[in-house]
Formats: sequence, structure tokens, C-alpha cells
Amino acid sequence: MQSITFAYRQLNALILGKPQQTRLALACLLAGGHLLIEDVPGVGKTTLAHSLAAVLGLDYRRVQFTSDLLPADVLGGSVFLPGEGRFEFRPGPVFSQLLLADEINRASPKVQSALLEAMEERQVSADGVTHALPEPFFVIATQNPDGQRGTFPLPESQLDRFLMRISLGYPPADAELKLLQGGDRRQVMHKLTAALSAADLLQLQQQAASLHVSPALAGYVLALLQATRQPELFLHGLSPRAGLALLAAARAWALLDGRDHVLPEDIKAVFVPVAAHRLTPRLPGGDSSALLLRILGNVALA
Amino acid sequence: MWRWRKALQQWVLRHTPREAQTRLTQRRIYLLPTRFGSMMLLVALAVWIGALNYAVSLAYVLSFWIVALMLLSVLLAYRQLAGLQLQARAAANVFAGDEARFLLQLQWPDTQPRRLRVRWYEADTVLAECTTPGDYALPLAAPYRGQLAMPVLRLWSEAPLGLVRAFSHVRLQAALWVYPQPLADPRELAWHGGDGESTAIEAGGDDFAGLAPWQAGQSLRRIAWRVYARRGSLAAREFTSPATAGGQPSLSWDDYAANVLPEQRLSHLCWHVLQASRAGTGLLLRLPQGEYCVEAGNSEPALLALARFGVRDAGG
Amino acid sequence: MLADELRLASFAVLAALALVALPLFLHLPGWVPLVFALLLAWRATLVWQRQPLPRRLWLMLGLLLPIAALWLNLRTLVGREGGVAFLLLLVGGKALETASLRDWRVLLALGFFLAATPLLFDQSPLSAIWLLLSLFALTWAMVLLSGEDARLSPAVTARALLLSFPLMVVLFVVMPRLPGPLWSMPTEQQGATTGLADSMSPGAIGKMIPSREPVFTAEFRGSQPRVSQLYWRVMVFDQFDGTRWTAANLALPRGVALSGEAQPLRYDVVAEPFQGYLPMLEQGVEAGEGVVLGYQQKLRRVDAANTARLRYSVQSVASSQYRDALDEREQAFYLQLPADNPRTIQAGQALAGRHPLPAARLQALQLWLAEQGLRYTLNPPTLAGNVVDGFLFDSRQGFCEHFSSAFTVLARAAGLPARVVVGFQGGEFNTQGRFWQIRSSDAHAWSEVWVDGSWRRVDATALVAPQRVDAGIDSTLGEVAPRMPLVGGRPPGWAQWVGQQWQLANFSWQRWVVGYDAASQQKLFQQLGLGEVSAANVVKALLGGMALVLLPLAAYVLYGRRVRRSVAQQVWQALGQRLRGAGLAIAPGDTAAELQAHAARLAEDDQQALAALLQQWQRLQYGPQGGDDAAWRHLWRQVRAFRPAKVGRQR
Repeated sequence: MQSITFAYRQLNALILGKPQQTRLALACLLAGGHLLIEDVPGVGKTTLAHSLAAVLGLDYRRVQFTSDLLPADVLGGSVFLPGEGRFEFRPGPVFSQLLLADEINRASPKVQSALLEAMEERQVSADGVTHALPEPFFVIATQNPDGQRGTFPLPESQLDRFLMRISLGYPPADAELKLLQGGDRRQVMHKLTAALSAADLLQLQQQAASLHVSPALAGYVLALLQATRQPELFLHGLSPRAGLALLAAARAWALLDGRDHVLPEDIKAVFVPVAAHRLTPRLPGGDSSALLLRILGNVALA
Repeated sequence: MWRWRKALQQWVLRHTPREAQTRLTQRRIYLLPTRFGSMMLLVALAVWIGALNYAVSLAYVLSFWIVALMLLSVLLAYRQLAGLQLQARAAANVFAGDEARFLLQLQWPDTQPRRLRVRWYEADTVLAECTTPGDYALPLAAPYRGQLAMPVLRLWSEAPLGLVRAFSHVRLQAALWVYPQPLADPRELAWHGGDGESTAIEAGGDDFAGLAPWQAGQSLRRIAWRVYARRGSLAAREFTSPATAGGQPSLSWDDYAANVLPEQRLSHLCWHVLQASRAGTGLLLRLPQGEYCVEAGNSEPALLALARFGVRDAGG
Repeated sequence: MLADELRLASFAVLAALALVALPLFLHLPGWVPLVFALLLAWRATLVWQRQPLPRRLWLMLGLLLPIAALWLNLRTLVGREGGVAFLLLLVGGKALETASLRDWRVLLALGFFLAATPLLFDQSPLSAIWLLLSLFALTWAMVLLSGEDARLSPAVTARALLLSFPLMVVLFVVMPRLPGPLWSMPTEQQGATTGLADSMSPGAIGKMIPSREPVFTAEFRGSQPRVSQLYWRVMVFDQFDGTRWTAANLALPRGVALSGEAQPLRYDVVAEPFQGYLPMLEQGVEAGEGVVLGYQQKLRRVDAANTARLRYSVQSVASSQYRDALDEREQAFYLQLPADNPRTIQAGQALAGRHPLPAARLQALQLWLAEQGLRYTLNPPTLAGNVVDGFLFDSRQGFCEHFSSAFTVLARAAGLPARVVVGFQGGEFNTQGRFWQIRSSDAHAWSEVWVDGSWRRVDATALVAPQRVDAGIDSTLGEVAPRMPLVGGRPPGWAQWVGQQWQLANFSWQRWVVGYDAASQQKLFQQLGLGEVSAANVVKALLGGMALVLLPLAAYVLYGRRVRRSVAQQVWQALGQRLRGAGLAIAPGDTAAELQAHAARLAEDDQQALAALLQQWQRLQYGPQGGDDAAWRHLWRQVRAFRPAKVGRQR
């Protein structure tokens, strides 16, 4: 537990003024989920992903997604070895414990689908052979907001492969001032030390998954899910899978709090990041997050 | 009498607001004795007169018990509707001349058994007998192309004795699109010319669709040189853009003679869209308001465009 | 409604109709209900075999036949019997032209009306039970007709009837009872009597005596009378044709003057009129509401044609004589005798010659009768011709009719104006209910002789069998004593007790249900402090009673089966209310931490108390251990006790 607190503190030393987001990112990984960071370029998305990998002591690769990227460029592919006269599977960058998929919406839908499928199944199939991805395995994808030129928005049906979607936003003024004075953050990043090993992380994940969820809490989650299913708010409400994701994230959040059971507070903390990207507002131009906050304000605990 | 009913109907139609969802409360549940209920009141009166004339106490009991059953029925009938939660679920679009099926979701917060019926306010057919919460499909004829909004619903219950009727009128926010009725059209489709590459690359950057093996004859500018550098094989970059839908038949609103009525044109267009979608040949549909690409198995956007042709979206 | 459901429901309607009409077998010519039952059975068969209805024309023609027969049988199609029989045939015909749901509902409504008809003939508790059964069957059919699931329908029916029962009671008690009928009904002579016939032929055997059927009840206010004082006067027979005594029904306007100033007995009687007359203790002084005391000391209803059971109060002085001034013409009338029975006339004239003074003559007549060696029995030989002579001088056996008849003839022969009085003598005191039950077997006849300006009662039967009067007929004759079937002998004590309980129930029934009329209603209103039965008061009572019954009923019906809130919900909602009450803006979706944050504006103590409560709440609701009932109750009490001080509105 101390190790995770230590990791959290290091992250906040690097990502200034964003304790909530760094904590959500940590919780997302603790829950074993993939993270989607959505923001305009230059607010530190890559830095966050990079430093997360560093403090968690994970083997880390980064792929810059572009329009001409091929699925094989990410997943790997069979290569003909002329000397031996046979094919050999060359694992792609996805075979790492933490993959940073930078600007994922610049890649073609084919590549996106290939990656998202690998994320879901935690394995890659090539030429009839399945290759398991390492444990732990995380994808942190970043994407620019919709509407920027030359992007392929992730298909809605696949967005729920990501446990959470967060956005960093501009740093608060004091943090930004510090940032401007503090020189290149990438230098600082190199000073980061791993706070825990991959084995520690797996153990923490297990611990998170075993946190107690009382029937009353499950009832609260159900009430939230049902509230999203009112047809005037969203096109489709949250699915049962989204409910499970919500609980998993809330457990990790509670673990970060050092509790052995989940409280409605935990649910509320992770609700918007977990749910917003899975929902499409019924009214064009509607904001999922705002609607979800309204639901949180209205659904009673009991 | 007839005019009076008509006026009442108009009043109800005007005064039933359109709501996304609603909960029936005492302000919108109306109670009236049924024809049978009025008859029973007459019987009670007759028995009462008999009791009075012959001084028969037990007949008073009978008479008053009938009245008491009436009074109780008011409560019981009211209870059948009270607290009922209604909302409309998304309903599938249909072709003109088919039957649309609106989906009504009924819920109630308690475990009370209920028994109620639903019909369109302006038609007499009972659409559903509801005894459990859940979704009920409400058929409605869709004779005309365009948007079909859910009409006013009448929910009523005479349970459990049939003496008193509780009823309520609800207009839910739900609408579906009615596509034109497909009408066979022997016209040969014009194949759109295949030479669109130059425009394709100009327009291309955004709409990169993927890679395909390069074939001799394709523009050299489409070769993905980076891939060649890495793999040593030639790949052509593919783009999707309306302008590049070369090799597809196309059909335009203006292909028809001016004396063909709009609805008939739309019906013909609709038929072609369906044919193209079914056959997998694809179709480029050109309407005054825009162009729509029909792919195999995905005719929805084009059909919607046909359905919306000249229709102001009433909001749904 | 589906066709199968309608079939089931239509069977239910037909069965209910059959059940409703069953008691009419007792009151109508048997073939009428039989035809009705056959019509129903016919309809049921058609439903069963899914066959079409008969042609309407044939049906009408076919129905004319029994209606004609009814006319021939009863000579009327209106009134109680005729009307009911006619209605029954029409309803049976209607059953054969029911096709749609609406038709069946009309038929069912007619069934409800039909359910009232047996009550016109009989209002005993048994009828009430039958009414309940009928109501259940009819309501069940109603429930089935409205499309209820057949398996649920009995429960739904029972519930509807139970829930509407209190409403019915309020209406029954409060709705005003009008004192008289709206229009007068044709009177009926047949079969309306119980116990007393409209004439007396001492030659025939009294059929009513062995019957222990209850006839009427009397309830005395204040002191109870002795059995020997209980002469219930009903009718007076004053004409004799040699074999049969009848009433001349003279109607002379005549008041009654009583000798003696004894304290009158006040009492209430519930009875049906016998030939238009009601029983009253001799000698009546004052008649209460609804009844009037007339010539020959006879009591009758104000609305004389009405034969329904009535509750009335009377005041009487227990006396064996009353003063009455007869003029010459009347004296002559009460002396009329036919030339028959020469031996009796001779005996009377002989005695008259020996005793010139009327009072002494009366004494002598009684003595003479007592010496004739007459025997009291319920099974005397039948007599023909000169029946009085035959009784006095030949058979010498008889019961009250023989005795009273013989003595009256004797008195008239001796020149004393005399007549026969018919009524009841005695009664059984119900110790639990403190009322008198008079039965058919208490029917009695005695003589009245006019001597010295007074009518004096002479109970000739008592001269021979005095215990008949002192202890009632049961002890006089072993043969009419109530017997336990098979066992024999007098019933044991518990059986008597049960019998008395039954009488009590019957009495209460007569008094509160059957006899609940305008007068009883008036009394009840006064007891409830509502005053007169006026429109305003009825509305008041109706509103009050309905509110009393309807509000809990509405609450039960509308909210009774709401999902119960769990303790956790109650605790949480109560806590939110407390904080809102203290002036905090609480959102419905606030968590414990958020509440605590809102509570920063509260006083320090309240904040701490709230923190403790919230901690407990979180532990019980979300903690791994959860909370048992006791813990929740504990928390619930604490939350109820938590009353944070109001915060001032800031800003």
C-alpha cells in the first residue's frame, strides 16, 4: 500500500496540479483497465503515460499512430526467414506491459480495431497461432478531441474497451507557472524511480478486486445504471458490462483510499470517467459528463 | 351527441402534452361509471324502491351493497392506473403501407397486480392487455411517407368489477420515419464513370481508408512508399470519399421526367436503393438535398434521406 | 375478451341466476321456478355446445305459454307473487337472447334485481345467508365478465365484497327510511298468516299448536309481567253460524276506558300483522308510532294494507277487564245465536233463570262449565252438526277453541253479550336477551263477556286446565314439549342454552336488521347525538360515516400494498429530512461525505453527532460486516433523536 502511495506522490510531482486525474489513471490501472486520455496536444498526455509506466516499473513502449500505420505495425507479424525457409512471428509493440498508443484516432479504423481487439482479448492471433500478451498489460491511448482534421474517431461500439476516459485540461495557473520555470519535464522523468514491480501490481490488482461490495452499494450502482437508461438523456443507457466496469474502478479507487469496502463516494468519483465515453447524448451537442453529473446529484443512495 | 363527442375528442387531442415519459397521477386519471355501472345503479335504485314499498330491510342491504361496490370500484379502478410509469422505446422505421410498431414501456413502482388496456385515442381496437410491467408493441398503420409521431394513447381499466372505468390520455415523445413505399422501376441505372482518381487524391488526406495491393495502371501517387520501404511490396493507399465512389451505379432525383409525381419518384428511388443494398452492387443516390452512398446491407442513410425528403423534422 | 373467457363467465352468470332463484321454490307455484331453471339449463347447453341462439320470434311465442299459465294460476301478473313470477319468466327468456358481453351484463344486472325477490317473502337469517351466497355468486360472475383471471377471481370477489361491506353498513344505517310505502301494493290474502286463521271452527283440529315456530317477540321496559298476565290479543270473533266463528269487522268509533289505575306496562313488539292485526297485551292503553288502537281493542298498522314485519311500542295495563258502554243495538249483536246447539242454549237459559244478576250469572256459568267433566287435549275427536252440543255433552274433549266457543255460546244463551278473542297466551322469557319469545304453539282463544258495563275476560280453558295459563302449553301437554330427536325426554340444559342463544340471535336480527325502520333509525340518530333524521343530519352522518370508512379503505386500497421501505431507506431519508429541516441544501444524491461537507454550517456538536451517525450508516450499509436488525433499529432511534439546530440563512 505504501508503495502505491509513493507512486502517486511521484506522479503528482511530475504532473502538476492534476491530483484527481493522476489518481484516476492509477485507479484505472489498478482495476486492470485500459485508459483513454483525451485532450488537445501539449497538455501532458504523453508525460502522464510515460511517468505512469516509470513509477509502476512497467516495460513500456510507445507507438505514434499515423494514417499509414498497418495493423501489423502494432501487433507484429510473420516474417519469412529466407535462411531457415520458414515464417517467424515478430511481436509488435503491443507485446509490452504498458503500451502508449499516441493519437490513436489518427490511425485507420482497421488498425484501431486490431488494437482494440487485442486489448479486449489480451492476445494476438497471427497465422492461426495465438500469442498471449504479457501480464500485466495496459494500453494508455491518447486522442485529440473530435473534429480535428485528419482523424478517425474511435467507433462508439469499441470505446467501451477503455475502462476510463479522462481529460487533463490546462493546468491551473500556479502549476503552469511552475512548469514554465521548471525547465524540461522530460528531464525530471528520467529521475523517476519505479515504486513497485509488476508482481506487486498484480497483487494489488487482486486485492482491489476482492474489496467488499455490499448489496446496498450494488443497489446504488443499479439505480445509477437505470437512470442512464431514461430515453430522453442518451441514445442507449449503460450496459451491464459498464456496471461491472464501474464497480471495478470504484474498488480500485477505494483501495487507493486504503479501505476494505466500497462506498458510494468511490462510485461517484469514478462514475463520469467510466461512463461518459460509453454514452451518446440524445440531443446533438449534448454533454455526457454534464448529464451524468446531474444523475449523480439526483439518484439517492437509499 | 356526435358533434359533442367530436369536440371533446379535439379538446383531448389539444390538451394532451407530448412528454418523454410520464407518471399517471390523480390529476390526469379520470373516473366514470361504465354503461354496466350505470345499469347496476339503476338496479340498486329499483331494489331500493322495492325495499321501501314492501319495508324489506334485507333488500336495503342488497341495494346499498351494490352502491358500496360501485364506490369501492372507484378506488380499485383508480388504483389500476395510479403511479403507472410510461415511456416510449425507440421504434423501428417502416415502409409506407406497412404497420409501424411503437414500443410502450410500462412500469409501476409497486408489486400490485394491475389489469389495464391500451388503445390509440382515435381508434377503437384494443392494442394490448397489460397485466405485467414490460414493453408492449402497439401497431399503427403507416400509410404515408414521412415522420410518424406516436398518437395519443388512451389507457383504461375497468378492473376488477367492470362498474367504473378509470382512464387517462398520454402522448409520448416517440416518432419513427416512414420510408416511401418501394415501387418497381425497370429503369437501367447509369454507371458512374470510374475515372475519379485525380480528385480522389486532392480530396484524399482526411479520408484515408486503408491499404490494398497496388495494381498496375493505378496512379503512382497512390503507392504507399513508406510501406514499400519497410516491406518491399507495393501497396496502394485507398481513400473513401463520395467523389471516389467510382464503379457504382448512380441514380438521381432528376433522372425522372418532370411529370412523375414526387412521391412516385421517391417510391422508385426507394425500390432501387433496396435492390442495390440487397444485390450488394451499391448505389450512389443523388437527391436535391445531398448525395447518399448505398452499400451492401446498409441502405439506412439513403432510405432515411428519402423518408425525410421535403419533411421538416418535427423533432422526435 | 376472449371467447373462452366469455363462455366461462356466462356459465358463472347462469349459475348465479339459478342460485338466486332457488328460494323462490318455497314461495311461488313450483312450476314457475322450474320453467326458469329449464330456460337457464337450455341456455347453458347452448353455450356448452357452442350452438346459436333460438330465433327471437319463437322465443317470444314460447314464453307466452308459461305467462298465460301464470295468469290462469295466480290471476295476476303484478303484486308480490304475480310480479315476481312474471319477472322470473322474463329473465329466463332474456337468458336465451344473450350473445355479447353487454347482453350478459344486462342479464347479470337482472340477476341482482332477482336477488331481492325472495326477500319479499322471507327475511329470516337463513334468507340473509342465502342473500350473501347470491351476492357472492353474482359478484363472482361480474368479476369473470370483466375479464379477470379465473384462478384469481374468487379471491378478488371475496375481497371486493369484504371491502364494500363497511360502506354498505354505513349506507344501511344512515340512509333515511321513509315511514310508508311510495304507493300501496295490492293486498294479498293467501298464505300471509302465521299461526292464526281468519275464522275459528272448533270442530277442526288446530294445526298450529304443535309448531314451535317463533311468531313474534316482545321486550318490556321496566318490570316484566307474569306469565298469567300474558294475554296477547289479536283478533275478535263475534259472529257464530253454528259451527264457525268469524269477525264481523264492525268499525264503530269508540275510545277505551280502563277501570283501575294500575301502572301500565311499556313494551316493544316485533311482529307481522295477522289478518291485518297486531298482537297487544290486554288491555292496551296507548299505541305508539305506526300503529293504532281501534274498536274491540284491536291493534293495527297505520298503513293497514302493509303486511310487512313491524316493530312498534304499546302501553298496556295487565287487566282482565275494561269498561265499554254498549248501546242496545250492540248488546243485541253480541247476543245473536243461531238455532243450532239446542242443548247448550237450554242449559244457558236455565242458568239465566236461576241467576237474575248478571255478575252472579257469569259466576254460575263458569261453575257449571267446570263441573261438566271436560278434558283438555290436542287430539279431540272431530265433530259435525251441533258442534258445541257435541263437545259439551258427548265427546267432552277439546282445546282452547272448543272451550272458548262453548263458553261464548253458553253466555249468549244466558243473555250475556259475549265474543271470542283470539291471540296468544304466554311466551318464553329469554334470560340473555331479556325479551319474550312467543311461538305458534302459544296461540290461544278465550271469551269476553260484557257484564255491568265492562268486558270481562273468561278463559274457559283455564277453568279446566289451569296450568295451561300459568305455565304455558309445554307443561300442559307432554306431547308438544320440545324433544331431542332420537334421545327423547326433555332437552338437557346446554341445549336449552343453545336454544336461547339462537332465540337471542334471532331477536337481535329481527330488531336490528329486519326491524330497522324509520323509528329505529330515529332512535339511533338520537343515541348518536345526531338529532332528527333530517336531510342535513343525514348528509352529516353520511359524510361522517363515509369518511370513517372510506378513508382507511382508500388508504388500504391505494397504499396498502406499496413496497415497504427498508430500514436503511427510512434512516437515510429521515437523516436527509433532519438536515433539510436545519436549513441545509441537501441534494437527493448526496453521499455521506457530501452531507458532512454541507454540515460545516451546523453547530460543532451537531456536526460531531452527524459524523457519528454517518459513520455508523456507512458501516452498516456498506461495510463487510453489514448490520443486523438490532443495529439498524439502534441507528434509527439515534437518527430520530438527532435534531440539529437551525442554521441562519447566510448571504
